[in-house]
Amino acid sequence: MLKRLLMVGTALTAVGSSVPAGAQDIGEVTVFHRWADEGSRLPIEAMFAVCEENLPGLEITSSYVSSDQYEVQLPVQLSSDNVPDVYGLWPGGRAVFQAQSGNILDISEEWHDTIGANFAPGMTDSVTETDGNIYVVPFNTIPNGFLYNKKVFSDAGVEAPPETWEEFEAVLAKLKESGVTPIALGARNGWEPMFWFDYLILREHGSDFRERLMAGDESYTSPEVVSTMERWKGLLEDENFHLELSGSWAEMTGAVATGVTAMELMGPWAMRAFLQAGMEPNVDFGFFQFPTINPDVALATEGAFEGWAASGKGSNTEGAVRLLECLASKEAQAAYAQGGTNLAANADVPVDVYTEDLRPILAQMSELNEYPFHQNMELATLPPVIEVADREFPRFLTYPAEYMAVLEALQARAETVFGE
Amino acid sequence: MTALVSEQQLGETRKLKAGDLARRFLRIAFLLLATFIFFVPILGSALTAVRTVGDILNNGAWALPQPFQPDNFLAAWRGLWPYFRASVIVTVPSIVGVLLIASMASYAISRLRFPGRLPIFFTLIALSFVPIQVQLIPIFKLFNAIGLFDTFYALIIVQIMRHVPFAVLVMTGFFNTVPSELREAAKVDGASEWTVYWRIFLPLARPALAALLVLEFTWIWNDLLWGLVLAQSNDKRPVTVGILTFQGEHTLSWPLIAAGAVTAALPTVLVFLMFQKHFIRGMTMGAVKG
Amino acid sequence: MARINFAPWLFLAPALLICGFFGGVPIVQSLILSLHDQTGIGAPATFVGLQNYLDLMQDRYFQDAFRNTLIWMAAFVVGVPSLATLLAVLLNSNSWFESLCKTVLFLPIALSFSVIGIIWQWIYQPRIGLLDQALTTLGMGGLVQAWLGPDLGLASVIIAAAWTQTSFSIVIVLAGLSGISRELVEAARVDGANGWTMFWRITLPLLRPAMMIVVSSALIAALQSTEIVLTMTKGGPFGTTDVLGYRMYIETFWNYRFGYGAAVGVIITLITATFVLPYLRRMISLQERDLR
Repeated sequence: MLKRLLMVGTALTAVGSSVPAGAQDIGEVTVFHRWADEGSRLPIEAMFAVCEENLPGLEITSSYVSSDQYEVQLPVQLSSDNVPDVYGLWPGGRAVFQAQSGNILDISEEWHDTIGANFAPGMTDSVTETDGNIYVVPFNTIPNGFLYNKKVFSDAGVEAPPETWEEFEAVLAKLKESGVTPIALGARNGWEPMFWFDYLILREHGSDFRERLMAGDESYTSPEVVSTMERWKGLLEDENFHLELSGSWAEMTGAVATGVTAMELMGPWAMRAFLQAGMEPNVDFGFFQFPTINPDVALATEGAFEGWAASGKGSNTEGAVRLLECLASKEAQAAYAQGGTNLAANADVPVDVYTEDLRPILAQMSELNEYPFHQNMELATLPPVIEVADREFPRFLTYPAEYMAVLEALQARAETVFGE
Repeated sequence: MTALVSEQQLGETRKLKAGDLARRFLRIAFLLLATFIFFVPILGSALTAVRTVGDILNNGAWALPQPFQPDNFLAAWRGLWPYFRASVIVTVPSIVGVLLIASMASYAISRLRFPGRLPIFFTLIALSFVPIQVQLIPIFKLFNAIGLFDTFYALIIVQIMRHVPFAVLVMTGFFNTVPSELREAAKVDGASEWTVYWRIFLPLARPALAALLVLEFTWIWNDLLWGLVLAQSNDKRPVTVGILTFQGEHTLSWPLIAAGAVTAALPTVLVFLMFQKHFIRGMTMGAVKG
Repeated sequence: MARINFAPWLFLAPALLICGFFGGVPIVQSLILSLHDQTGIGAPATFVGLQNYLDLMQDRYFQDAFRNTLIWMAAFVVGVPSLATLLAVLLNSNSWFESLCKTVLFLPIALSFSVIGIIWQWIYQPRIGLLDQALTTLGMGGLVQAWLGPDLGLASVIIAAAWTQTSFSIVIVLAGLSGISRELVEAARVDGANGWTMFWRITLPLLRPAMMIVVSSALIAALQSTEIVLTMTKGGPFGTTDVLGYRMYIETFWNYRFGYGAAVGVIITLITATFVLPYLRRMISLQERDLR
């Protein structure tokens, strides 16, 4: 009731403030998304509430399922007679994939007119797909970096987190000396090892090479990738990894929290598990970014950003675009980020909206957003290639010497998907 | 002669007493162990359901709850109840449909003689072997085309389609055991085929129907894929989809999922306990009879 | 002269309509789809003939899944019915103890497959999982394994699936057992049959119809298992727990190769038909013979 009154109220003021006639009544916009658990869903709904308040006559009907189920439902819903107007998606390979089946609206024009102004200049690059179009409006950035157990580090005599590869290797050596296997790595979801692949490639060969690789314009069997795999293989063979192939980030974060191992390459959400285990930020656990390998290569950040796309096939595409514009706004994204651990994608959202206990670390993480931001491999390239990566990286982790077979499998799939 | 045998028999039973006792003990010990092994996963879930994430992270999955957190059940119930509603709306009519349609078909197959009887029986049963994955997308397209996508009707029709064959297998077996004199006598009295089925065979089949009810309930209630593919709005999704919404990609929710799993299983267990007595008898007299 | 008797057809009509139309039509559609290339449900399809099937023959991931499915089927067909029969024979009594055991043994069927997958994944979790913790607590930490790793993963997933399949089978076998008349058993005992001969000569043959249900549903469950693999391992590590049902799921819902996925589905259907139909046909004809 209150919401309706508010809506009528905003509608009236909107009429007063010379909004073009006909734009007042946006009507119902249907949204489908995959942030189903309460912890992820409530921030999303807060974002919706802001838009319902700010856009006259807008009524959002949302429907959601968990991520595995989303994979099944999305293609079904997009080909039904009742296509959702807006749906949750990642910029990157998934968006291109949907574009190939004609299920996504190109919003390049709106991006350049209005939406893009909400973001840091680098974002336009990050959301421009390999086909040159823009489809997805991001609402968060989830940068990956090293989360580490401070006590395990100091027990091993490590004073400060490493910045260069040499320092990193020295840290690994000290940790091993103190009897700890330094790095936790699981592979249950498939994307955990990809974070490593991404950062090693980014630090050795830079942003442009990585982008071309993900777009199918570089070969997985190229000397560059081979040298990266050699480095990774070295790390594996020197027993730096506490590997649990069936472990997910959750188990691995637990392993870091309990001091079984010292660190993991993960996103900010994992800090929640540290808090739940009773650890204090910057006292018991800390964060550092992936060390530089080649000083001549400009720094870049790898992680994920999630966003919204319009299907262009729903019953209210105009309303959908208006909603996307609103979802990009500072107000909506501040409501999303309020009290959470995910950073808002909107450049103007201040750090002080995030959850208070993690704010210092989140501020540190948000600095990573100043570098070119890359969608992690699982989201960057096309799903059929990811299937191979999901499957072959764990093989490489088990048999590091066989990396060539892994790269050949990836390249073979990339060739069938990208052509040539 | 008979007297001799039974005396001999009696003597043997007496001698066997001590051995019997040892055997009995072994049997009970083995059963206890097996039942316990089967129970451990359930026990683990029940335990997880009353703990906190921090507790599990720090103390592992197999420790006594500290703190004891029964609130998880409240939270699970709050999250699940809209899905419960949808599950009930789909499950109840589906079961009634399956039992009615299957018992009618089985009556015809078992009691009436007509050309093509066995091939039809065989084909019906064979349909239950078609993998669900093969049907998913074509059925979605079909319902979408006839405007039933995202309705309870679609889900109910599909559940009936999937489960009638098994019920026909069981019910035919059951009706085969009913003495044919019953039907013949009724026919002489001028009863129609429908009256014989409805007034005589169906009441007789009560135990078999009860048994089928329990099995079909567990299957339809626990279905996930159809609820995913044929439902689009939140209020049409079944409880199996509901539990999985507790599972966040980036959140830890073991206790909530465990509490949800236990909560969602309760109706099935209740139905089983209610019909347990009929259950065994029903299957007995039916298909399973030698 | 021949007056058609409508009664049987009226009784059969609802079943034939629903099962025939909604069950039969999709099979034909899948078959047709498997001869096409299609990248979205509504997307245009190109006819490719048998190409999808030929590609499957060359597909290493499909071969892995095929092999794993055969192992799964073998384990289910041998393991589940024997374990279920053993437990059911021991449980075949109505005292409070056996009733309690029966209720507990029923519990696994009350859970959906995805939940079973999640629970068993907790059991097999490294370090903090139930199994590892139980072993460590009992002082057998040396037995701790990577339960869902490349060596044991398939066995672990099969055991999780067998947990609920056995539970279902026990119920069916128990029902079959209580249908065997006491007089027959007594008569056999009087004839001097001991436990083993009783079981092999009397009980097992009389359990035939129950076994028909147990064995064919075990085969079908093994062939169609998807959800449990999806929630437990997603086919990993490196395909060691991949199965045909999961292959179809991935090709369809992840790779958007709808025709290729349909081809996998058609193959699953064919294997089911090859293994289950002859068995079923025999069982049904035996049942009919008993009737006369």
